[in-house]
Amino acid sequence: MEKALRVINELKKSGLIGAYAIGGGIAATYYIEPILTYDLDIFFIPQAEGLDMLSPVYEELKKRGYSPEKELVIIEGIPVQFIPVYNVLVREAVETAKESTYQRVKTRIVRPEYLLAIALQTNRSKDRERAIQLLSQAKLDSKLLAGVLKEHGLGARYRKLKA
Amino acid sequence: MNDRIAKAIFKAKAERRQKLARLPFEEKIRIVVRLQRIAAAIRKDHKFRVWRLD
Repeated sequence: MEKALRVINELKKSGLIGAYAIGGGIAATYYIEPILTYDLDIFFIPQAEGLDMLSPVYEELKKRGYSPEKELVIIEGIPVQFIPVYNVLVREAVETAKESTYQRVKTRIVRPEYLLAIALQTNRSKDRERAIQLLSQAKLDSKLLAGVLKEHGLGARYRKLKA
Repeated sequence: MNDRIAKAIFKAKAERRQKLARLPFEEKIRIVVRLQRIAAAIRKDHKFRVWRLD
């Protein structure tokens, strides 16, 4: 995963993507017990608006020998899914992500309060399960969480989850 | 009696989860890959790829 993160950092440095943050199951694993997941989800802020924000990224990765397979690109043995920020909540999650390192490689990881909010917003059964795990295992900033839930209208879902 | 045993088991499970949650990120990723291997052996399909760590 170290090499994959280096490649992603290079995409950021070259300006092909804006700020990025690890999301999904791997980000959750940062805060809770390890969970079975298969993709490294990379939420990113696209550098240009348009219908196909992924093309420049995929083209560059192809040049480097990493070809897309359906919705994923295998980078140094890791299936990576690039996800342009698709709403205000996800953009905020990327902008406020936590700086971290993996084997000395700098990276950014979506904060647990935002992972919980995104899970509530997406609201599939596996998301609700993840939200429960985050609630019971992650150290959450209750003030930040309350603000995010209020801002994005997720209070009712949160109360239902906790009931 | 049974209720007490169940409570003790659930408490131990919760404590184990907390312990796992406190592991370093790198160690957790190694565990994720072990989980992928276990799942791949059971599923016997190629839909999901086991990660190759550096």
